[in-house]
Amino acid sequence: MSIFERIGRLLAGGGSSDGNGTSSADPAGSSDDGMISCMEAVTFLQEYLDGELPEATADKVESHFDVCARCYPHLQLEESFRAAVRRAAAGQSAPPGLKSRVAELVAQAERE
Amino acid sequence: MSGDTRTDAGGPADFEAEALPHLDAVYRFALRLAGSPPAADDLVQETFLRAYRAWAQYTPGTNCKSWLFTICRNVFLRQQERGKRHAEIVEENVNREGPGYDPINPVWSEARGVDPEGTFFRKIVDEEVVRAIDELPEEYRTAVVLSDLEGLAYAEIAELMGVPVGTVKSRLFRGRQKLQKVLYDYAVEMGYISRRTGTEA
Repeated sequence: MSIFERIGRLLAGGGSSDGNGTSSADPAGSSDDGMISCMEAVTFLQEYLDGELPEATADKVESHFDVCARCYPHLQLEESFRAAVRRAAAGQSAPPGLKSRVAELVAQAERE
Repeated sequence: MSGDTRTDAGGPADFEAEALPHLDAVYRFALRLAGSPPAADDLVQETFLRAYRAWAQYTPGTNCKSWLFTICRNVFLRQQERGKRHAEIVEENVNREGPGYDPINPVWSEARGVDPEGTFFRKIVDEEVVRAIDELPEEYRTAVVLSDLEGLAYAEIAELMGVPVGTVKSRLFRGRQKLQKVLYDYAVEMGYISRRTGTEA
């Protein structure tokens, strides 16, 4: 890891007030110490929450969000969003009569 | 129901045991595709009828729910084509946008300093969230609904929509970002968050 990467990581993890703060962090590829940059963490965020990352990568993403004060709200925002979407559609089940109508339709098709 | 050891996989009893339990899930999906309960009702009936007729083609032990979703969406898209809706234009736009998407969610930047954790999402009434989902272009809507509401894996959605996994990710992530932007703007409009003062209502 170069000195620039180290500085970038310190800035990124240190709750800098700068909006992006990841300019010196390379978005491609993890470093050999098992840490990932802010940019990598947010790039993987959707796949992480969808449970689509290999376990080793998911662990790195999780560790990053655990310790990074600036990235953690992103995770919370995405979780709040998903909870709202799930909650909004949760109560919507098929109307009571539909199942019997479908069953009747199938029975009719069977007779044909 | 999965413990059924009958060998006549095309039989009506198996259909009843395997397919019918997914009625609620298919209805939820149909509702998001078709937009209204009566239209969803029709779509579900047509889906199950077609599924029954094609039951011999279903491989027992595979994901029956996903199989039903595929039929449901195909029926819906065919209806759309007949109705000469804007599906083709949307598809064209989606393709032109390419597979990439911005990993930096614009809503993060906007919510920073006012509500970075997105607590405003909790205040938005369900009807408004559903309305925002329904306004997404079909390609985005289907990906979001199948992933966020039905918990399907990228690979399952890809197979269902007949597109590569990369395209699913692109549609899903873009769809979520669009949805978040609409809900964020709504929350600002409703005074749940304030852009200027940085205080939560």
